[in-house]
Amino acid sequence: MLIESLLAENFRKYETLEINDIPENGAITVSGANESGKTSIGEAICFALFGRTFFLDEKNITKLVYWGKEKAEVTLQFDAGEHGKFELYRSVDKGGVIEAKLSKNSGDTENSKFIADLSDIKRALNKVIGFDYDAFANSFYLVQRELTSPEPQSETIKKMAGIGDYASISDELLINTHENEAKIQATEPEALKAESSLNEINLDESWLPDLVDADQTLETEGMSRQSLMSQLAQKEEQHSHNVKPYHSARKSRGFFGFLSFLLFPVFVVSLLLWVILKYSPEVLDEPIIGIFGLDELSSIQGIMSQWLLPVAILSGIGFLISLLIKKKSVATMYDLNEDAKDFSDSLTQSQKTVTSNIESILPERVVSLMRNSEDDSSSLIDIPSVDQFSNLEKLTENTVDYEANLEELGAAVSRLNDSCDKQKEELKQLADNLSVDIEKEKSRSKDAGILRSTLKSLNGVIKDCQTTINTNQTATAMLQRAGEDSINLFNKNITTSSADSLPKFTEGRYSEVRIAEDFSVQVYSDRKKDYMDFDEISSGTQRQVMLALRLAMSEELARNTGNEQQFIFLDEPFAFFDPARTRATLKSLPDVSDVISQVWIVAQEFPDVEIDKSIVCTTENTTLAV
Amino acid sequence: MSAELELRWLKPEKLHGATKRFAEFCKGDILEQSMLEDFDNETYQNSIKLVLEKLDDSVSIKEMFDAD
Repeated sequence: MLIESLLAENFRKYETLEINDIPENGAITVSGANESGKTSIGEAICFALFGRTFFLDEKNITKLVYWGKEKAEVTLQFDAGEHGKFELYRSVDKGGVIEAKLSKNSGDTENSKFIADLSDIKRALNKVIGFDYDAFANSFYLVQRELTSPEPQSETIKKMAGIGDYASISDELLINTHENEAKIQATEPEALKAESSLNEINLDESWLPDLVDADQTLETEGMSRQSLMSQLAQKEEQHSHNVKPYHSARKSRGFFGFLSFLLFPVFVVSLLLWVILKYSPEVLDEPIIGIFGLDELSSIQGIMSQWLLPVAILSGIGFLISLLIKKKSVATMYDLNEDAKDFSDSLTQSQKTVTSNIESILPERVVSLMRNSEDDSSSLIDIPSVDQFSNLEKLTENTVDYEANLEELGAAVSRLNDSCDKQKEELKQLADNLSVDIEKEKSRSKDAGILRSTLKSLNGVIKDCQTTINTNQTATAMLQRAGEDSINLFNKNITTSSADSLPKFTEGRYSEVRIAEDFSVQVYSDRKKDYMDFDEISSGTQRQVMLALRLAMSEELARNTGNEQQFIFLDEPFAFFDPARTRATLKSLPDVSDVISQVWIVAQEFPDVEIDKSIVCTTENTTLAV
Repeated sequence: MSAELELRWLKPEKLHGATKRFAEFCKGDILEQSMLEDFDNETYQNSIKLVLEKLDDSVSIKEMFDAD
């Protein structure tokens, strides 16, 4: 942070104070006699930034108002490096009302954005410049007082070392860890309870599907028996009706088969004889004469020529009709045989069904459940004996040819129907019982699902909490190590930096500063070739050492707050310095640090050395414009 | 050195002040910590992100001025 300009009105002894063209690098001296307003310049800067000064806190801040005026106002323009350039205005009236406005200079004065709320300005400044009043007063703002170093465990030192936020973050993480531990403690019993309930349910995932499959099997078996019963009744009736037509067709087939067998040769012979008689009658003469004698030849030929053709025609027609009727009878028998076979198959199927063991098609556990819930007389488990249907095989064979005894057949069908019906009822009963078990299992499954979901959710909470705890603990340990590392680096940098500046301030008499962890200081005397305790050296040298330390610490603070270039305001740093060391220190101050580049120095008078800007205050004037 | 231990996503040069210093520390610290038996890279990296998030004020200066 570098100051670009300072404007104050009615502030302390000044009606108007205006300092412009402030160089970014180098020494800016503020000189003047007592009560000439030198310190007021530092106070104006401090008031603009933090709303207070070193000597006047917020309660007494009205004392800054120029005598007889209503309001003191300060406008500070500064460069905050990469954050940009800002204008900070702050005023306080005699009633103690403070107003402020922080504007970001964007080059567009009409549309420049600003913050006017005091707490927002404080937060924004902390972000922009990186330090608060305490850190400022212990580093970049050396007031007219004893030079001292900050307390080793102070927030300022932590801020300087770059670990200002570590402790608060660690505390925050610890609180968060405790909260998560408490959450785990509260959640674990719930998770255990859910797990215990889940174990009590002891759900077998394959049980419900088995039950549902068994239920479907029972339903199918029941429907199968129902279908068989209706088929048997229908086919038996059909069979009874078919017996007569079948036997008639068989008789017809036999009769007309025989008739056609007789008529065919008659037809062939009579037709052949008629053809011969018509076209070569002489061929027959000799056989006729041989059988009947010559006298009967003409009468026989006459009879033959009269009857042979009609006989041939009639026998041919008779043959064809017999053949057709026989064919029709065969077709009828074939159709009836098919029905009979179908009936026979149904009988066989029914027998197989009622005598097959239902256990073989159901899961073992379901059978066991059925055995537990059914009485011993179940026709499904204790199936009908095959002996009951001993004549069924013979009946089935005879059924195909309609040779089976209808009474026996009816009795067999009745037995089969009875068995089917009984089994169907028992299957229904079993299915009803199974439905109850299925509903129970569904309910258990639903309960287990809810518990599993709850358990998963609770375990998720525990896992998340544990992950957060692990992360927090790792982060806390990391911050601890980073803090130690930063402190070591801080001490090392302070020592190195002081070793660079101290010889310049002491004209080479002391070359090195050693800083312990508790910030106790030892100084290496080149003359004595040994380290000396801080209280062994003169008060003037002590102040030179402390000034070197102050600059080194300020440099560290600037680095750790992201300020690549920083101003420092040193009010009367040369008290107790002899003229030679004052001159040496003044000459070297602008060059001791790359970071602390804009060095404001206040003194009553300065030795004749080259400086970058000189501000001279006078006791009489209430206006100062530089 | 494995790519995971290089923490390529962590770029100190884009950070400032104490946050930058912490990021630089982590680049070296992870190499030492990874030698330990109970080192968990995922937890370690999550911890870095957690600390960086807390070190770096979530509200940017631009947002502060834009809010008005």
